[in-house]
Amino acid sequence: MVATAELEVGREDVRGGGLGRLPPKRRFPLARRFARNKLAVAGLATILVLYGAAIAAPLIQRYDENALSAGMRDKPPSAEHWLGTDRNTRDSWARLVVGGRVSLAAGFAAVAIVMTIGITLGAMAGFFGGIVDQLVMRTTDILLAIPLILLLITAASLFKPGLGTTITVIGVTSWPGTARLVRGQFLALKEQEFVTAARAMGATAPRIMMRHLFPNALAVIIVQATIWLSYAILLEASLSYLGLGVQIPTPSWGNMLQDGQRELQAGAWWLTLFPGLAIFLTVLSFNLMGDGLRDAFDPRHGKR
Amino acid sequence: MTGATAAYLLRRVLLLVPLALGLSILMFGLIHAAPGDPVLALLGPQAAANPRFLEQARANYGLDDPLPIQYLHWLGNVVQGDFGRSYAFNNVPVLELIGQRATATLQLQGVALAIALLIAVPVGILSATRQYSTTDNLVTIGSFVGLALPNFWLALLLQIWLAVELGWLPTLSAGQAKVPWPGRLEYFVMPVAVAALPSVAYYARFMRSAMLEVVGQDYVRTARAKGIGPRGVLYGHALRNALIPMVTVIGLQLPQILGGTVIIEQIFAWPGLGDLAFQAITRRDYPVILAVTMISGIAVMVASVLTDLAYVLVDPRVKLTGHQ
Repeated sequence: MVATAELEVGREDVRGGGLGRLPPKRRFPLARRFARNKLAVAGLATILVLYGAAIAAPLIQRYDENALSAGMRDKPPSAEHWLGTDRNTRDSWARLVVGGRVSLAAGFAAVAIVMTIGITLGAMAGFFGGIVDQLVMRTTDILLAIPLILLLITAASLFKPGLGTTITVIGVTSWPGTARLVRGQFLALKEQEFVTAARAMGATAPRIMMRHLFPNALAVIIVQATIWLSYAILLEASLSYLGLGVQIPTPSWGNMLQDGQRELQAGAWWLTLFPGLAIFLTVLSFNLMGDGLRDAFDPRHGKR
Repeated sequence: MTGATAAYLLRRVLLLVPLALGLSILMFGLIHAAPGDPVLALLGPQAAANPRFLEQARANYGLDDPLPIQYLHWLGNVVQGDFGRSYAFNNVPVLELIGQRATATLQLQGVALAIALLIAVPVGILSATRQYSTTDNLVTIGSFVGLALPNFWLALLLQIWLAVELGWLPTLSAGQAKVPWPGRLEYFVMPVAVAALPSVAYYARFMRSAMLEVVGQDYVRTARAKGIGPRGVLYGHALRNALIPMVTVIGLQLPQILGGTVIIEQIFAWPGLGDLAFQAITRRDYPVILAVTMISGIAVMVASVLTDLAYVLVDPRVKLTGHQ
């Protein structure tokens, strides 16, 4: 990652010097490398469609997600109700689309918290070392020793369940992995010459961290954030499925699965199939995209 | 093992004590900060009408002491091996309860892990020896799919299909303990499949990259140069060395296995530790929550130290100094 950045700068210099021995530099090298990975592009496309559907929910949902229609309990998919109706006679397509809004937004917000805490603590631990490092690392040791889902359930039981609680709880319990990753990056980067040079020029610690170290660690952080978007959506779904996350009547993919499970013995498969499929596609797409990004950022790493 | 590595491992072992204490303080604080009264949960709403009775019950459980006193009291007992009695499960001693439940979880997860490895190791080898072939690409896509499948969704789909539609298997496993052996196997099929699938995906992918890594090493090239056939190189040299990182990654998967078991046991009503933990948290059964999280947390920490140790023992070149 570091080397890539330096390599690009090197090319510019050579061309600027008029030597012109290197082939002309192609534009958007990152996008080109990413585009070569078909699975990653498919992932990105799927994500764009899912987010597009979530944003356009009011235009495509056809029914109100809470509207009841008499006599339409547990009806299978049909022309009027594309994905059938649930045990409360509500339209499943409308709930899936609005639920997607909730689930995708919750994932985004939770990852924002994870990244903010993880990057801040990881950066400080890696940069300052010593007691700060010890404190942060030992805290991550403790948090990583408890299975995340147990920690989540325990933390979720502290507050009134709901969307806000779900986001907060995922955010404040899931940062240790990111903190360790960022710490490792900062530890390696701070020994490099450009940091020594910046120090010699009198740059302050915050300036070195923000202007010199953070941009060089950005590639790794972006990949981590992409992968965590998939985890966060899975965690939201797990919590909501267990009844501790987003609460009915607000739909989310997780609580739709919980609601559908009650009609399982009635054979209402459509209540389970579609919300789960949405979660599966989202998680798969973010993983594929993260993998593609990792390879694109680090070409020497090649195809693994 | 070098002196520095030995010192590092010793420090890791000594660190277990403050880490376990930190874990206990965190969990103790967390569950006592939660709203909800274990005494009320225990005695039912009728008891709320009688405040004196409630107070008496609280005093019996030591719940009227200040929090630090309660903690020290609990810690003193735990050090002597006494985790107390459950509030919500008929006053049974906590360790006895965990013992009963752990068997069910170990059976489920043990079978799932064995099956996962039996599938994943050959698949990973196959995939690595035919890198970029159709088989390899299918395995790569398959492992992405396996890792992205939410386990509760897969479980629900299997229940609808195999249990409700076809009627081949029982939906829930709550009564399995009363069913005699070979018949009890029926109850294992779906939970084991759900528990094993993500592991198959994860281990196959890991096995593939471990193999590819080893195949590029000098000693493999030397073996080839000596004239050993492809099979001999594969099984005699490459596989044995590729299995080393495999062993360590299994050790590090322990928290994921423990976490996954919570949801799987919930769906199939499997009477194991994960179900116990979930019930204990929702019913504010303090002694049980603390015991389950402490025991699983310490197991995870010890597993991580043992993993490091195993790494050093099997590969003398590895040096651990803590700067990694």
